[in-house]
Amino acid sequence: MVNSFRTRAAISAGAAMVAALTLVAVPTTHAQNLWGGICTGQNGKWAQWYDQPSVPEAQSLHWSQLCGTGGQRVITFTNCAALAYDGTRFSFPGTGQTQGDAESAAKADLPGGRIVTSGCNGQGLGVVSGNG
Amino acid sequence: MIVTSFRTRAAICAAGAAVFAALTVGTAIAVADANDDAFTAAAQQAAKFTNPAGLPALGREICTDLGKGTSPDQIAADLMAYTSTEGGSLSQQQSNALIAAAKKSYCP
Repeated sequence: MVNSFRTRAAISAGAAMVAALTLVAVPTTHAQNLWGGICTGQNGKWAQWYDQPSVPEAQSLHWSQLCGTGGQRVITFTNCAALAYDGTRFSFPGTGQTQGDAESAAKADLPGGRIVTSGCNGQGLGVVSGNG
Repeated sequence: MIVTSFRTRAAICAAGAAVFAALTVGTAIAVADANDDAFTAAAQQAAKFTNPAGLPALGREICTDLGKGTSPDQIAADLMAYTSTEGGSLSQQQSNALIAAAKKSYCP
């Protein structure tokens, strides 16, 4: 599947060779230099972690132990992120400059869902996990 | 090995890219809609693309992969790996923004 995506990306993004990209300069805050992640698993299992100094470190956290068999890391984020759950499925993870922005994005993706985890880097939140 | 393999495939695809791009542009003009406009605007806000006409196709591919159960984080990794071979480089944050925009515009 990954290979499939990459192949298709090579063609379509490509519509391309799309991408000579120029990075957009944005103001840097402390939270933007820190990284967190969210994983989801079966039966409503989830975990969110914060304050890792780099993307690789945020991604190497032992998330698979937190979300169990069949779990997947759904996002690596700076600033804030939130996740909603409706008893059956998770929302697409919401992200934003503020916790409110992130929660609004998550709830907009899953109307009727409730926020099960939400927070921002730089607040010393560590690792949190839960079920449903 | 994966990267090498990808580059090989990208090189093969590149030969057909010009034709495909022409078709894509033509199609995009024919079917351009509010979703395309919204996604293109969001993507351009996240990063500056030199060929934005190709963005709607990319957005749809992202949505297709999400629909197949590929995690957003894996797609972000793929986007970063791909663009790093194409003269630009998306950051994790830019990739997240692109995926979120694709989800919003193209995934029901």
